[in-house]
Amino acid sequence: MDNQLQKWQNLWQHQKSNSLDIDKLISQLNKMERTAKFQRIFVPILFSFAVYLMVTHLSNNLYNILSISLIVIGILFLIVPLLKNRDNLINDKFDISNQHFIDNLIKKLKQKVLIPKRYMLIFSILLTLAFNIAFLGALRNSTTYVQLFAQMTAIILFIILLMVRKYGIKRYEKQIFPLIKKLEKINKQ
Amino acid sequence: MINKEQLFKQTYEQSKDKIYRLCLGFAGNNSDADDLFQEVFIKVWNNLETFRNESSINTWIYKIATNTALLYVSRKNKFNKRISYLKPEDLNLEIKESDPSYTELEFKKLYQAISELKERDRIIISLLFENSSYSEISEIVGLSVSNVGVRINRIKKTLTKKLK
Repeated sequence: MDNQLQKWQNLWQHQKSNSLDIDKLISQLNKMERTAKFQRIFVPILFSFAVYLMVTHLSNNLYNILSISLIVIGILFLIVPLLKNRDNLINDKFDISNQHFIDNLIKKLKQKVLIPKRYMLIFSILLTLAFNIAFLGALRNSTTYVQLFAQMTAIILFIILLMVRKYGIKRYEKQIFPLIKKLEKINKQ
Repeated sequence: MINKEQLFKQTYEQSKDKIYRLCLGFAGNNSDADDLFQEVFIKVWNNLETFRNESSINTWIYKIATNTALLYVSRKNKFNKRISYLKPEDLNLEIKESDPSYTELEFKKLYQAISELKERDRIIISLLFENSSYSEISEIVGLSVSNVGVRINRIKKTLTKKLK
């Protein structure tokens, strides 16, 4: 190292860390770990219990079984990428090279944008279809007018879900696109 | 056998000053450096089980620290605007009274100048100042050793200009 760099290095190394209450931090981290563990166990149990309740408490006709199946598939389509993404943020691998880390992060952020774009759309279609089928079964003996009204309600729900999706896309893009742009800029340096 | 908490404390004690300097060089102000410093050790905790002595603890912790810094700076757009606010009271100096060769102003200028470099250059120069070898820097940053050498020369020129 030349003299100039040596001088800067000596100067640099005079800085000491500000004290961090390490015992307090460890206790908070242990608490966070316990909460995450509890959530990992609790969410699937709650989901299974909800499915169990729907299956056992609704009459076992073809319409209801189809509706429940579609709702379960729809929720899984949405919840799996959401949980996967959340887990990535908490447990992501940080002990890799900067280049590798930036490349991975850009890839993951691009996948995250797909949550409202793709998975929310699949969820909305499956949920609306499930309601349509459930109404068909439940209102078999009602008048055509009542049946039409029920089907319209499901379509209105679909429109609302599409609006929520549109808002979700905007929000995600607002958060994620500048981050991707910044990371790509660092990548080019 | 050493448990997670003991290993964490040991890692913290060994590396706190180096990591703090890296955070301050990256952030350029004490407030962001403190946040970043804490975030680095949260990531260290989360990744501690993956450390298997395959690389040195230094290389391992620097990878975590620099990746956390890159994520932090990318998330925080206002980050760069705060760089110019490094005040003498932000610094926690251990300048010996018997050592008149360094002044607070020089010290402030150095950290300020480093925090104004490109993100990758900030990492490279911080690692160099912590006595990391070119090959270690290359492993952490993910560039070739020759590229690291070229960049160090370029950083030196930039810093010389800034610190005139």
